[in-house]
Amino acid sequence: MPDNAEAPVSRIQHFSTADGPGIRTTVFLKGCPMRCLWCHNPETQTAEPVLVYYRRACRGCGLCAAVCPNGAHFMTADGLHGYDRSKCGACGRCVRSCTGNALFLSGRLMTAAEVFEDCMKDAELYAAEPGGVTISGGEPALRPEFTAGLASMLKDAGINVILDTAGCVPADNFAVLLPYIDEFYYDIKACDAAELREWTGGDIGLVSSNLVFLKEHGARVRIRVPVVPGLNGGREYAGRLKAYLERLGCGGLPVDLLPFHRFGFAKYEGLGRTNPCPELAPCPQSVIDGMKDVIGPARTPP
Amino acid sequence: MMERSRILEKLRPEVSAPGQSGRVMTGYYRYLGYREHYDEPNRIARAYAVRSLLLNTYKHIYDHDMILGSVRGFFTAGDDINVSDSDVESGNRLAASFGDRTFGTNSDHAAPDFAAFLRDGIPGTIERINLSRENAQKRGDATGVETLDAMNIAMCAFRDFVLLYAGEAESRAEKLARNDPEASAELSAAAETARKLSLTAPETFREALQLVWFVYIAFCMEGRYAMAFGRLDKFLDPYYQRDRAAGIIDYDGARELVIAALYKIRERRVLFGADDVSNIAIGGLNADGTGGVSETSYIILDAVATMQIPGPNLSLRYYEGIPDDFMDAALRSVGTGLGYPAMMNDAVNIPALLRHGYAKEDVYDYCMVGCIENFIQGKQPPWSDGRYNTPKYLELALNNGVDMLTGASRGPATGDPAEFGSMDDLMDALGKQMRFGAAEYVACFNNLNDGINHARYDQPFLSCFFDDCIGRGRDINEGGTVYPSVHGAAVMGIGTMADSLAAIEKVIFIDRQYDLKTLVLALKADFEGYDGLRAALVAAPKYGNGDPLPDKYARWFVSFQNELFSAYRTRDGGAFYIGIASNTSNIPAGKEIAATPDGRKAGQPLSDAASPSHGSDRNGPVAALRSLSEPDYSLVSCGSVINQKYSPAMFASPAGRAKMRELIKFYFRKGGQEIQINSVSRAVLEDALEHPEAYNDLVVRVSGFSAYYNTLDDAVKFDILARTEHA
Ligand code: SF4
Ligand code: SF4
Repeated sequence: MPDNAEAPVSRIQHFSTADGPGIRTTVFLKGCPMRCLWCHNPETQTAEPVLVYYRRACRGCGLCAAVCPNGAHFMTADGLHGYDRSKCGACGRCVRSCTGNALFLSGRLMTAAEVFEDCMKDAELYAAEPGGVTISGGEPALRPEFTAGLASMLKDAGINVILDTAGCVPADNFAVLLPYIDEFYYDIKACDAAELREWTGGDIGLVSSNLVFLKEHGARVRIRVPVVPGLNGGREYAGRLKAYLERLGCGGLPVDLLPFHRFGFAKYEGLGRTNPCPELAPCPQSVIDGMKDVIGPARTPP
Repeated sequence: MMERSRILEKLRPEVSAPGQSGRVMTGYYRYLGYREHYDEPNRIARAYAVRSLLLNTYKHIYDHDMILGSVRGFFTAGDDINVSDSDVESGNRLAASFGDRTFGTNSDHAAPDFAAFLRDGIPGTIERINLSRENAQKRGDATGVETLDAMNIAMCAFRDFVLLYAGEAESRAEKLARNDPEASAELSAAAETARKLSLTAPETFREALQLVWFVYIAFCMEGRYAMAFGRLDKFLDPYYQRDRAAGIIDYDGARELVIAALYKIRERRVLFGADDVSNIAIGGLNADGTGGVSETSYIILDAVATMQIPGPNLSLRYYEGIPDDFMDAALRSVGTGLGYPAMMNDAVNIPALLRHGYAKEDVYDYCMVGCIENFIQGKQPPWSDGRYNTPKYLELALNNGVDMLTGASRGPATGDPAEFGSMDDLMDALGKQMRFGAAEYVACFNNLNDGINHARYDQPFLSCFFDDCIGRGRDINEGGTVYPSVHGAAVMGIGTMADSLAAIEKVIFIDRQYDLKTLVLALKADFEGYDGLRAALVAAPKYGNGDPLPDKYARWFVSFQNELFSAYRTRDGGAFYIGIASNTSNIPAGKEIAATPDGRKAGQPLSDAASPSHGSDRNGPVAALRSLSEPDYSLVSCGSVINQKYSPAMFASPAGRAKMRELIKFYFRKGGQEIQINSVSRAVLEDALEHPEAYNDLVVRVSGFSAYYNTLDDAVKFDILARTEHA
């Protein structure tokens, strides 16, 4: 596998604690074919680099204005900081000079080898509390060359690799990835074509056939369901999910139910984008518990 | 672990009651001792003052006391109500005229030799004093005779103090007999324990703990603060094991007793409005190579986690091979928001102390006093330390010895920085400024300490607990102890310094974007009109991200500070340690410092303790710990502090705690000295919502990713708050 394949990386999260067992590093790639209404990481949707600006963290120090080559940051006459996104070329220069940790550049182009090297810094920790690397996004399966390149290097180094995917990519991509991935975390967001299209823009045909493909090729798969009250939350929906998975012959797979949270909201603001669904409420544990009950406790570990 | 405690429920309301306050009687009672002995040698008069204090102060008994001893005796109660205010006042004045040692002159922050005291008990100790006095007499050692006479007076007074408590407990038990027979029986048992302790050495866990507690309370009555218990698990465990084998105690029973004693540390908060910092060190290696975690270690840890009070400052001495489930229990305690125990690395602290030539078996019994200061238990005079504000010397090096804020000459003239052609020239000037600063610091401290005539400031009671004051017939501060006094210079601002030097090297000498002259002008102008330069300085690599440039300066910083202070000796020939801990002094210290080359504005806080500057460790906790373990901390004999914050969710499950445990082990394998982990409580999150400016470095770790709290919007903050309630 080529280790010079490049991909836009949103961030590399070390000591990540919920993207699989043990101590892990999660690599978030940019670019995603879906547009989930509840997206937790909207900065990863597009492949292009983008500057995230958290207005509330800004201290008004004006240093960004001093370094920006395009005048995207500016200080008003009364000493307030302003930011004109249309002028921003996402070069990232302002980020390091920010005294408020208010700026973040999502989308540095990195080679698989560079990412590998960064992940390997924590190799000692992956061994201590058995974990590894989770490749997430965005949609990492959208970049089979990069992802397979990174995964194969990790595999050679004896590091466990989880791929976090929503499955909405051409089947060939999974054929490339299959040999290098220890486990697939496979998102099932809806179990009906219309719903999936409406909520995420995704194609259920692809999602279903890729899941079956992985299953048939003996891949280890875990189903992940982001539970959004009002959409796919509740006991009734859990029953439908269960039936859907059974129809695909995937009834025996473990299912993680992940409560929706509103962490993505601030990011929309930081991206200067309109939140498509500001009315969504966080998912209470009771909804998760009810769904676990329906799907079966044996298949929905705590 | 953290099961319901009956004694806690009963004692909590009693201890928390404001109760009697008003007049402090301790000075008056000392005076009553002094006035009978004005004509006698000073140390004898002092011993009588201690005697009068221990005998006369009020002995408070709680209805639910299992372990007797309270600091409520500081105040007026009962009989002494008849003493007039003017008598108390003039008594206080007279007692005060005798003077007192303070923290700066070796009065408190010490861990007594409890192992020896438990072995001998009160009568055995009195016997030892008398024996030694005979020897002193034989060799014609008049000072020895007098010093031992003083110790004898103090120790006999302590015995009477214990007996008076027994008497009070008996009469309270009698009063309670009718209405609360259970409490009455418990108090009778406590009284019996106390009576027995006046006659023999302790034989049971309860007796041993009671004796330790009486000593601690007596020290408090003397006005001492931050007196440490040291390796409490180590010297109590043999009693526990014996009792357990005999079937007279079990885990829960021992835990109740420990709570019954330690919960009363909270009295200080109730009565004086501030917490005591009574350090307890659990775990740790023994000199024979065995691990020190015993069942009593679990009991103490559990008791502290259950009590949820800031008083006992619990330190866990980590060593390779420490049981995983002990670390798990420790992390559960941390996760309650209590933050204890702080984790200390034996693999760093033991070599750090061995360097000073202490005997191996003494070093392995080290403990902490106060917050984190390493101490050889029972073998050193009390601790002292001070703050050494290092970034000031960089300011002076960049300004030819002149303070940028005041224009006053504060250091040697080390040349016009505009002439510095390289980083080496600057480091040379900085070295000279720091050397000068260290000399000034040491002179001030030693002058203060030498200003006290040791023969006139005896500590007869304290001396009974420190090896080998009794044998030598010398006071603790007059050569009685096995080892001399040490002093800790708390060097402040490692993050500010590493970042500043890295920024200078990068911006001025590598990129050559600006020159030193411009930098100095910018610093003096507090960066007004120098946004471009400041932006470049802020963008330079920062300590705490695993970046080699600032890490190199952090390494230099530690070894240079050690080299500076190693050259000095305390008045009795002890070492000057360095420490990298400053509590919250980084804030006032920052007020006195001009803008620094890391981009910090004048007056802003310095970096805290051994941590990176606020908010500058942007690559997560692992990278931060990697940087933080770069310097050679075995040169930091006093100790250091780093703080990391995690959300309570991290501690909620065994899997989460296992990850934290491995992170700590990783850090300690790399050579980290200390880590304090805070599980950010709901209260903190609420406060951070109100005062975002004070929480720029608050990282919340939820759902497997972390975010600066301030970057989240209110909806999310409320979500986190809602969850925190469950965690
Ligand atoms: S990312 Fe580059 S172009 Fe955009 S605001 Fe920052 S400095 Fe300017
Ligand atoms: S550098 Fe950061 S804190 Fe300063 S004005 Fe720009 S965005 Fe705000």
